[in-house]
Amino acid sequence: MRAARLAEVRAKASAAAIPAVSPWRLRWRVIRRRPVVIAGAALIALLGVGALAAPVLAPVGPQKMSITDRLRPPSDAHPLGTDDFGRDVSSRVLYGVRLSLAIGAAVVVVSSGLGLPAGLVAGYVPRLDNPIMRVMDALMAFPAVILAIALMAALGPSATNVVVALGVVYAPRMARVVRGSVLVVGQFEYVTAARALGLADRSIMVRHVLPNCLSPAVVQGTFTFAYAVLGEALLSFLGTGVPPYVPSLGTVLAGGRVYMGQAPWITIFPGLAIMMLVIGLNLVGDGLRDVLDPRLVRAGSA
Amino acid sequence: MVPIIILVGTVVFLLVHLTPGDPAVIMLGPDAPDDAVAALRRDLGLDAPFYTQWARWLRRAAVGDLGTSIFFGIPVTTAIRRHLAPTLYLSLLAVLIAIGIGVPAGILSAVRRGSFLDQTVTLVAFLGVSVPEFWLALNLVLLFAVRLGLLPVAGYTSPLVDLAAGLRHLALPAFTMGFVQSALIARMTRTAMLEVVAQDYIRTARAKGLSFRRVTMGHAFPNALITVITVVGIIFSVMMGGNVVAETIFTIPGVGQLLITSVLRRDYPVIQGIVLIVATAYVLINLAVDVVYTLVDPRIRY
Repeated sequence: MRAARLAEVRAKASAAAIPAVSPWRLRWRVIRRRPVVIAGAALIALLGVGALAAPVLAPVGPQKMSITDRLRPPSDAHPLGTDDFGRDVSSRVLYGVRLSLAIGAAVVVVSSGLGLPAGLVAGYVPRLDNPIMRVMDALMAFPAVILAIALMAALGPSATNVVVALGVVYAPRMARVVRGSVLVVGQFEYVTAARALGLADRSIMVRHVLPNCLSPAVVQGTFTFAYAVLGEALLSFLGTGVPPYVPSLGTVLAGGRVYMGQAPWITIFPGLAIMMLVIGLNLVGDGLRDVLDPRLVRAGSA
Repeated sequence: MVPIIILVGTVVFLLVHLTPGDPAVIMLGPDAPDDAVAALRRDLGLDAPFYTQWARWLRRAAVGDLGTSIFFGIPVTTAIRRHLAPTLYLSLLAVLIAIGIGVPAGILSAVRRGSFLDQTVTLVAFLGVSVPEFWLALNLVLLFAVRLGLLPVAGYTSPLVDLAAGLRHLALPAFTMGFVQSALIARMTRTAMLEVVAQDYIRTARAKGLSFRRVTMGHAFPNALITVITVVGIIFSVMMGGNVVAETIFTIPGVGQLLITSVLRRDYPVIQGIVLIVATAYVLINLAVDVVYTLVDPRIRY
């Protein structure tokens, strides 16, 4: 499908006698044909703005209790209702989205910080490939959720530890993706040329190999972001993530669980927020994967 | 295989021992009397050098001695064995549901590519990958148990004791897990089938007059089976995380629930034992998947 679309774009380009299409214009053309990707990006942007503006948008503070307003259905004063402590659900969801995005971004940074160098070295230095990748395999032998729970058990509940735990869980996946493309890029002539010129291995790796391996890493990073949002919500829901008093989408859901029958709004809205975040991120990830496909870039510059 | 399991065991060992602070204090809590801490340190062998502790942990784990539960005071293996059956029934049922929904959906959507059915499957599969499992579970409880009263809200009966009651209790948790996994299976089956149906021998089979159904089931699907088997292997990993969620929400006394309660009780030997067994099982399942490959596709040899 992708190849067909590409052929079409190229046929149009040659018909119009455009001498060369820059890779970025080609990428934009692919993206433009997929409105869902734009919708995903818009969804994330919307939630991101909402999260940033949470202190302004939230009707009241996320921790403000009001015993007389317990379990109220959605109304003008409380657009998404109130929970069992009379706290405003819309405020808590906004702050929850804020925390989800912050933790998700931090997990991407941690997992890339660990996984990128590991994958780069493993792919470029044959001597270190086996030792590094066996450790990564061992970490990947644990189901993600189980390893995250076990790490949280060891580290104790806090937002920082959620980032550390999920970062460690997703680092091997990043390392594997990066190693795969380093193995390919490392065979290219310009790497041999750089070596023949006498460049140090370190600068070849960082300046010549790494930049050409970033596309798959960016795609992996987007999916890691989505997994991290889901993971944080799950850990917090189970009571092994952030402490219960912190407004997170997971803790809000856990708190509303008991009142599902009488006050379903406490659980429905944070769940929808998680789903919107994850759908947005997955759509963007799918789109990036299509756009950053190396085959497409090569074809564009050919 | 064996090196991976040793590495996995080492990771599990490090889980507790690399945490900041004294494991004995962490297990007993900050208010524990000094002599109790000293006694636990002695029991756990924490006063031995680090590498001695590591070697002893591996040696004992190899013969099935995973230590004693701090909370129950019984061997960890016994505690896990008592919780094993519900998890196995639940996983088995969930895998059956996942394959039962995912494989036919993937095949149909590939052979009727672009149709309304295909678009529906693709959309539902996308939602299935993006929905938080625990939130889906809560909503199903709300609908089928609370509102319609068709199924029990939570609880567990062994299907061996009372098959009907057992299945009624397992229906919602197994469907939640199975549905979420079926999304992944459907996606992968569809992709694999699309690749196969584009091959020349499929056209040949059609050209010699075989029915559509025979070509699909007799020629195309067996060649897409490798991918499907790979996914079922991956699913086991996700399934272990799903068990934790489903067992917690539906209060099923399985290994997943034991893991979460042990985290909350700081019962580290049990946490270590469960994590080790799950990871080892995962490694073995992957080995089994590799063996099944050779049965399904004679071209694959090791």
